[in-house]
Amino acid sequence: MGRVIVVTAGKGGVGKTTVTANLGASLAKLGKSAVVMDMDIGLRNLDVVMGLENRIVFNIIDVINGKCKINQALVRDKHIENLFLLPASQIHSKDDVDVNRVVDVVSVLENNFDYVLLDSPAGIEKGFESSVAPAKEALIVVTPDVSSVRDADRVIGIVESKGILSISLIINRYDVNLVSKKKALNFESIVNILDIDVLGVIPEDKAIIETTNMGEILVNYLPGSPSAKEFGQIARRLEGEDIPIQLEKPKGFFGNIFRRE
Amino acid sequence: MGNVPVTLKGINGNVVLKIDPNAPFSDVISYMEGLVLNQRNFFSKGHLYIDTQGRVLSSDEVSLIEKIFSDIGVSFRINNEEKVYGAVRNDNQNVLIIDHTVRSGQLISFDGDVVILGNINPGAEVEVTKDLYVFGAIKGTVRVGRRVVALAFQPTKLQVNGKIVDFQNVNDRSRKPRMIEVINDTISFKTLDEREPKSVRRGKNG
Ligand SMILES: Nc1ncnc2c1ncn2[C@@H]1O[C@H](COP(=O)(O)OP(=O)(O)O)[C@@H](O)[C@H]1O
Ligand SMILES: [Mg+2]
Repeated sequence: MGRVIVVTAGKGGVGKTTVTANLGASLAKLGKSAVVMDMDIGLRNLDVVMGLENRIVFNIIDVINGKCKINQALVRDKHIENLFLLPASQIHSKDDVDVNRVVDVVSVLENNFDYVLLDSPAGIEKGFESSVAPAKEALIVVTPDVSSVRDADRVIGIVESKGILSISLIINRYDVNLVSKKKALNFESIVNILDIDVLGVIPEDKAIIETTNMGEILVNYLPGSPSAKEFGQIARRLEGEDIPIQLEKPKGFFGNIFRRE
Repeated sequence: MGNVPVTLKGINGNVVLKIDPNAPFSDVISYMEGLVLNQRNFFSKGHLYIDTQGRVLSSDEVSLIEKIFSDIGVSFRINNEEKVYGAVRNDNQNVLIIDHTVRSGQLISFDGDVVILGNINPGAEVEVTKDLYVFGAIKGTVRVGRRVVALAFQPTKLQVNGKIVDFQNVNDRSRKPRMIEVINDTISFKTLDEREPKSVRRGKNG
């Protein structure tokens, strides 16, 4: 049986889709079979981030409505053999989705893949429900700002109340220079409030936006970049390896010490 | 899926085990044993609520359940005909123990005393008719009937016996464990070490 993990946040634009795509790819690179599911029905974009939009034939709604088999709807990644996307539908709304049917689809997938990652939409309404309902574990994505942390706290409470007790945190867009200038929340204060295990800290990285705009997954295209390396480590931590989290040093660390005022 | 004798749910951060009131008790027990074996991480929070859904358990049945969970170090609580069994047994005092942080959007309202092993985060609300003991920091909204004890106070709003506690006027704002209560209509703030008898033997170095 595979692991079913929802990637969620409460807030939009914090990096749920980015994390889902890159973590799926990193797990696949470790030799695991992974399927990433776009649960942002009506606003799909996981396919765009992966550069797979023109390979889509069917989507999850087609599967649910019996128009096709699950394996007909799965789209294989361009580069990685054992990574698949189950696309969302753009023409339906989140209210068209029956949560129980999503659970059924996921239970088929979890018998055939090592990992099923669900990319959840923003908010805590219907689409969120149907991405949390099938999951056994949750990854909460948070950016280092007060409103993202507050929303994450709320979502952790809701996710716990749905019976998911394995919840870990991914801090995304962590910019050590902003943190050192106290323009962003630091690691400790985020962990202090949210009080869950941290699975990884992904730095702010221009390469993410660049590769996304090219329709390439960062960990495929720029595997040496700092954020790609951290995704790789997050995948290994998920696999149970004990890799300590290391925060980058702010730029000009020594410069600041030696510079004269 | 057919009827399972026991279902496991997380409700507001607590693990709740629901027993099918009609299932044979032997099925219930063997199912629980299976859960403990296979879903061990589900119980890692160490506390469990058992909902008998109206079924009345005999004391033998209760001790069978007690055995399963005490073997793995998990405390639990069963509401069985008004009687409460398990590790947090309280016969004449109404105490609710919450062994986790209360998060934004969560509301806890309880007639009695509440102990929280964690923080009360911004956006959370806790309402208690008697005393509240927080082994953590209060950052959210709190209303208590009698007194509140916490390791740190940075509340959004704090009300003791109907009176709003204004932290702007507290002289010593250091993050110390305190007890706040209303005595003779005025709010008393005491740091906990003020109340503690000072150790006689403590020398200069300690
Ligand atoms: N670590 C990062 N560094 C820089 N940009 C990022 C990072 N993570 C995400 N982004 C950018 O932020 C935007 C929102 O990310 P996305 O994954 O779509 O968020 P969500 O799915 O939560 O709405 C995208 O343009 C993405 O490229
Ligand atoms: Mg998204």
